[in-house]
Amino acid sequence: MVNIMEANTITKNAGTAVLEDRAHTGTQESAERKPVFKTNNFNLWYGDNHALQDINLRFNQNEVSAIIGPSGCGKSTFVKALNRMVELVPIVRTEGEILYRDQDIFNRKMTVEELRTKVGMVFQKPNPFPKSIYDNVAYGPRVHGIRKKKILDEVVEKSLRDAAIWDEVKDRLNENAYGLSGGQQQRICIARALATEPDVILMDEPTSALDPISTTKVEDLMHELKKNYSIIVVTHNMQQAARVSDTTAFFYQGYVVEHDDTKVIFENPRDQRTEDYVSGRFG
Amino acid sequence: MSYREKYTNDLQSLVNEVIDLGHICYERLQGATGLLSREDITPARELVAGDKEVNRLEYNINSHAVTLITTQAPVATDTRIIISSIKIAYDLERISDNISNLGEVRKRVKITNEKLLLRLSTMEQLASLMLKDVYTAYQEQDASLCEEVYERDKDIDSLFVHVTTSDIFEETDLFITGQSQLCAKYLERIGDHVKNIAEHVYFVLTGEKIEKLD
Repeated sequence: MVNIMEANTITKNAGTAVLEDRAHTGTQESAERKPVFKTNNFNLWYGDNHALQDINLRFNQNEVSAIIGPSGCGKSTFVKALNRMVELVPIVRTEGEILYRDQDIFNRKMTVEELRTKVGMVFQKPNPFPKSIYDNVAYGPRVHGIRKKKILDEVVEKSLRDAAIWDEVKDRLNENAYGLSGGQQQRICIARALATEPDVILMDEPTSALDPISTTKVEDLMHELKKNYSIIVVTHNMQQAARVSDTTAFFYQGYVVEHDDTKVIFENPRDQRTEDYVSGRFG
Repeated sequence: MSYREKYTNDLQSLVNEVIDLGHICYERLQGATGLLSREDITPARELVAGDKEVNRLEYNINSHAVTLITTQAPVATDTRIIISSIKIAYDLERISDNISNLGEVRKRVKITNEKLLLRLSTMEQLASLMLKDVYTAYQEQDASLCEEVYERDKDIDSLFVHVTTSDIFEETDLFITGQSQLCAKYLERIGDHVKNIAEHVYFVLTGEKIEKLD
């Protein structure tokens, strides 16, 4: 009887030549799928540690792009590079390009403030400010100089509606955000990210601290949000990547093993390492 | 270190169950048409009775496959193996039904037309060989062998057309003629099910459908 693991290896080896061509290339370009982010031979070092190696990826507008990979493979580092948060670490050095809407984010023409206005971020643990729900969401617009109560009210309501939490909090906007459940806090954080009208939302394991129902709500939300925004989400939950994303990139030891439509990654990946990882056999 | 050892073992057991079922059906098919001319009716009765075990094994395969799906969230090749196990087990069960039907015919009549018996025996052997080769195709991970098996069903089909349209096989007793043609139909159906299995194995190996113009 053929051993399943061996059988898979045999099948995969046949595709090695194809793989060499595809690795690092990302999904196919097409007219309908406009890129929001493109990286060209992007490399990143933490001191001597070469954490990201020759990353060539493309993330499209109005899509959910998932990044998966074992711990320490560089997923979070990569996402933090996209809005230059990684520069907060003093020993970081980068090479290559990251283009946001065809503009190099490391170019002096683009300020960090400009970039982060367009590229919002949601983190693993809900991190609302110790303020009221209203003030949490209004924080960004206020920093951007919006003072008029009427405009702020509109922005807060729209953001909370877009984050699918308006109905749950509309009667207690002045209560402290800490009084909400974890899932609600996370959606407040998403609303806070939406309030500055970003173009792209980066999510670093947005549901790993949430219960299953809250997770479902955030996943449904991603489906809704991609109509108006582009989302790049890092997740450890393989099924989540399979459910919510249009494309998936598999990172391993600092480089991209495979990047393709999510259907391909989860149904018929080209690389044996991808297959082993998505089926939970390593990582 | 290997991950998900139990899952991998369970998946392997599922594959083994399907292969075992295939062996049983293969054995049941051997000499099935030979029984049609035998004086003794006992082997035909035994052939019919043997289908019960096949039904039981098919049920077990489905049940194990469902458990794997609900508990392990399979993806990629694993999903294809599990889904195809269910489908192959179904086709094997139908093959077994058709083999039993041959036994049922012998319980009703004895067929003596040598020319006809020769054709039926050829159909049986062609189907047997297809089943054997589709097993080899999986063992050797040989997708092109699946395509060959898929194509070879046409040989059985043309024999079926020959048997049912040529008047050299006609008997004076119309009931016997009718029963003979049923036998040809059963064997033709067995060929179709092996062809399906070839498609399923091809899908497991490649993730794609056999592209052929029928």
